[in-house]
Amino acid sequence: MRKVILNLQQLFLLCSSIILIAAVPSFLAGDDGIEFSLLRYGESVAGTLKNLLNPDSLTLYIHSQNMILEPMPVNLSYEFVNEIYEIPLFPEVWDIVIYTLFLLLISFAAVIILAVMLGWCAELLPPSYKRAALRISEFLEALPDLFFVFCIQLAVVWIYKKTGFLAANPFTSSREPSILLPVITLSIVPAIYLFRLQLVLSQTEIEKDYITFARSKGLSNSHIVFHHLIKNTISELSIHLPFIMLLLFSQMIILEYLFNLNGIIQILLSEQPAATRAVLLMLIAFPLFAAVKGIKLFIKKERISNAA
Amino acid sequence: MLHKLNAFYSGTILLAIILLLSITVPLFMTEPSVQQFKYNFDQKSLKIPPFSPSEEHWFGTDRNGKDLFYVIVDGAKYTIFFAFVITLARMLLSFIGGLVFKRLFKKSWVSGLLQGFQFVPQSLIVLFVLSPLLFYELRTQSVFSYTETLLIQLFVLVAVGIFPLGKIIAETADSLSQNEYVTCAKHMGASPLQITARHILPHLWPRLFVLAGRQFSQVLTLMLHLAIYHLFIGGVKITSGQVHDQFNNFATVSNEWTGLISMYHRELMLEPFVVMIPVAAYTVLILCVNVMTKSLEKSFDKRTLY
Repeated sequence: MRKVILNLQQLFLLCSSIILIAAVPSFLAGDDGIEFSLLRYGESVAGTLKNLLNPDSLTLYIHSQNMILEPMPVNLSYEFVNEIYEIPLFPEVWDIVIYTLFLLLISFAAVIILAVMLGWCAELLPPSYKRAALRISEFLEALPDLFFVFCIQLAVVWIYKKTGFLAANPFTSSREPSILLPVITLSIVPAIYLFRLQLVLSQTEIEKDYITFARSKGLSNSHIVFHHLIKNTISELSIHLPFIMLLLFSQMIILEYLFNLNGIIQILLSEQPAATRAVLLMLIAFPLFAAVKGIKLFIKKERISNAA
Repeated sequence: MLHKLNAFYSGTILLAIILLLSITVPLFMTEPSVQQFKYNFDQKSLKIPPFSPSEEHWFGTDRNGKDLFYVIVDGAKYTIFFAFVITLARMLLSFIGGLVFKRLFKKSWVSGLLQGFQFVPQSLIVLFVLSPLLFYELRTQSVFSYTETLLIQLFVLVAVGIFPLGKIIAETADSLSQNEYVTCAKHMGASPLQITARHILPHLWPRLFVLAGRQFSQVLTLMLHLAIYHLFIGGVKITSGQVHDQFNNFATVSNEWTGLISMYHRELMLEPFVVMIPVAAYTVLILCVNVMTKSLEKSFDKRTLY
């Protein structure tokens, strides 16, 4: 029960910090140019809170550019007029939020499974290969995420050009959203990070006495790895899960542009009221928070039930 | 000791060479003039930019005929310098803040509030704050001059990083002050200032260097993520792409690499080398910084063991 209250408290604090963050632009932006004003910031936070209390009042600004043709005898050229519509937020954004969350959570699961699996496999290799794997993962981890994105996009298109085989949809079109490639590119960098961490952790773990004891009893290497090593490294790995989440989310921001995804970031970055931004951020952040906490809890439970 | 730090020294030397080249080359070399086309009389063939890499243009040219080698070399110093200044300011401020408000950072409600930075990426926050200020429509003027733009960007980029970094430094300092000798010193009547100076700082220094290295590569990544959304450090020039403004061209003012990558992103499927050359340069830079940080970290780990 105490745990639940503690988590709820954390969730509440997360919620308030998101509201504070979403209101930051009003702290800086004056009517013309920069004007620092705490008063305006406070007003904006209060306004956000008021809007949050009745969610039906939340609105979404839709920016559209309409082509207008002047009557024929006057002018043959046409002009574009920018217009902003205001529509209620709620039934409108669910699809987009769910799509973004789906990508993030799928890649989160993929990252953990992939890194832990590869970590297991690497443990079974002879030591020289293990060191090579560590070196390679250290090198790959140092590369920027954009590098992978460009390489994957180029490779897919190159294969398509050569063989006519389109492995996956490299850009979202209006008809079909691309899912496979964004998930793969999202998970590469965090998976390498987690994999390297797993290798480093098990390197220190494998020197401990209980492993030596298990060896001297004549247990096989694979038995030791699966039954002892993993269970003890994975709880330390779970400390890094929030960082993995952050990595995924911040990569999602650029992937959405590079893959032309129809996701939440483009709405967040267009001109929107602070309350709407806060709500959208919360809709994304809560499931991520829940996923991180849930997996941590699951690992802890497993460990306790194993120990008992 | 020296051969252990080999990776660190080679990284430093590489960075120094890049910086030196970037500062000196534009002094001695004028920017090659733009060639609209190349006509070969023998084969009767006409070539228009982008020219692929050749002896004349080492890295080729972009679609406007700009020499990529010159642009890359010129941009290096700005890229490194911006990232360096931001990292330094962040480290300094959060070092002071982390030590002064050490107790405050330990409180659960503060760390709860700082969770926002754990689930909302920094690039998103910076884009929230800066995009209403710095973006302008085609054929209008930006509200701010280039210097003002730069200052605002520096301010926001530094401010957004202080809180998470301050938390890390405060936590490190706190774990250092849990040591027994600190308790001893406290009982002997040492003032907090003395304890910080004598017992915490000597152990904190090496970690600060490692943290600074990580911050540097983080700042570079952040700059790239911002540049993807056309928020270039130093300012953006927006021009019309075609007669009817079907698309806008965003150009960097300072030629810094992240801006170049974003600027040439459109070429990815047309002439991949145009965008891959800045990407390669940027990758080398980040790789260099990361390798340096790693080797620094390893050498300090060994030293604390003995």
